[in-house]
Amino acid sequence: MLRSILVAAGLVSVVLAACVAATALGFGRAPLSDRILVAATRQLGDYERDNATIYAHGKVLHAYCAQTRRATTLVVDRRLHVRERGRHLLGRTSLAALADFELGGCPGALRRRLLHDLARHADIVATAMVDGYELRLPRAHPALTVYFTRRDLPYELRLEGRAMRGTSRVRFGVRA
Amino acid sequence: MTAVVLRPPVVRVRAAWLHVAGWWLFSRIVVMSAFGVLDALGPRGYFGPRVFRHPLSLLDSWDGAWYRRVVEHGYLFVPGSQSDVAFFPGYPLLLRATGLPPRVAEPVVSNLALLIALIAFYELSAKLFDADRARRATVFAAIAPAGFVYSMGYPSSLLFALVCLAMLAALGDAWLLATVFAAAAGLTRPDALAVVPPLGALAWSRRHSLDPTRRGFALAAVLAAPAAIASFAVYLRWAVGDAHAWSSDEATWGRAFTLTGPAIAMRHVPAALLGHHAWLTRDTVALGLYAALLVVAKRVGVSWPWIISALVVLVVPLFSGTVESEARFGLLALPVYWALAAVSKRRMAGGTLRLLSLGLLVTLVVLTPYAWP
Repeated sequence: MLRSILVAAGLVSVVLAACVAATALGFGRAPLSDRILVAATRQLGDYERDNATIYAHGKVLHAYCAQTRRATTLVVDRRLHVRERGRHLLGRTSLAALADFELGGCPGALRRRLLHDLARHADIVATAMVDGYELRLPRAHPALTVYFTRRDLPYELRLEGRAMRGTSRVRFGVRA
Repeated sequence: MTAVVLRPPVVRVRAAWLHVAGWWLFSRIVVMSAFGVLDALGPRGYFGPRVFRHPLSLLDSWDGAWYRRVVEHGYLFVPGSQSDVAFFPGYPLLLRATGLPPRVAEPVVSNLALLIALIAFYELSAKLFDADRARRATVFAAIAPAGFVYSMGYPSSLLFALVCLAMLAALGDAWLLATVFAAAAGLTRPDALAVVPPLGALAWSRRHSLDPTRRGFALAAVLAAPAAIASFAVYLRWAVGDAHAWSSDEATWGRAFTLTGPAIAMRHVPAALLGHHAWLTRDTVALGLYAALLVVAKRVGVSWPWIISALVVLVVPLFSGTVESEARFGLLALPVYWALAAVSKRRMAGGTLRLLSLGLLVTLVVLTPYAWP
């Protein structure tokens, strides 16, 4: 009886190990860039507002983004700048306003953008740095670089398009 | 000391296999022709023009697209979004092993796996009953209405083959081989749990004729499928950092496993029968038919372990709170085919049932753009 149980236990362990090994050898782990993006989207889901200092169009702008379930509002230098409702920007939709909206780092909009890039398996280049990670999406329009802390929260965004370019320092606050 | 050897059963081509192969070929011609007509004439349903741009795209639709994604990019779990961790690795591993582009590999692997499955099912049925009933049951398995998925990017035919091969190996006392097949089945889909009751009953019935080591092998064969299913959680813990990724992701697909799941699923049945949701209607009707055929199966002498196996296939998914895809899951309820074989002894009844099954098979192909299998 004991021998039968020992044989079965041994064989089941071999099955378990072989199956894990086959799957791991076949598919490995998701690349670092994808894992950082997944962690970031998870983190961003916990926030509903952020502050950003935007360096664009030769100016320094102070932005504040707040989102509700229906709409996202970006206020720049204490004036309503861009409002997004149902994934459509209302009011100003110039390239400069779009750039500001991207650089504003609104948590929901940024999360959606990162999820979109994940879903289509976009080219993402990850570089580990001393205090975090740099993720570049060179083929996105416009090209986007996001710097993450070690706790997977974005702290700097950089846009490098022809008409939409600039950088921003973002700080997330108030968990949902 | 007992010799530890893998004893593959002796394989000899039999005349009955040609009959089975003939029905396999005929059923696949019917399915592929129906897909060809669908590709040319529509309806287009929920499918965009991209699906109709490539002749093989229809076969790669719904779950097939996700399996392709696993083959091409591996696993990635995005919490709160539908991810590919909902799809077990056995089938995409095999697709990758072929070295073919996934869109080509899917129908090739699925169709060939069906041929192996049908031959294994014939042999299994002949061992459990008689050659005549086995032949009739195999024909119904080949032309099962939901069996159009056997030609698509779905692992159903591979799972069917592995379950039958595991049982055949066990019946031939090749328990190590049964362990390998059962483990491969578990790695392919969680429905592989269906192999546990008949394997368990067989191992129990032979416990006195086996020496202690072989008894251990038999016990391992019974536990192999659950172990392989558990292995996916271990892999996900390592690969995406969450051992529960599969069950979390199932929730985003509308499947949240709870004890009250069957009650929640049944709450949707009236709406389904009124035709509000085409796929629920199809799956609710299929569930009713499978249940009725299981009653027939018990009456015509199918043993309890096989009935329980079919119930595992049909009832466990209900705990996720929906009847969705029951038509496809029921393909692995093998007693259904034995019941059909029993009630189609007469030529007239057999012919009518086959025609009806073929008609439903073609109809469900045409409905593919409206309802995922």
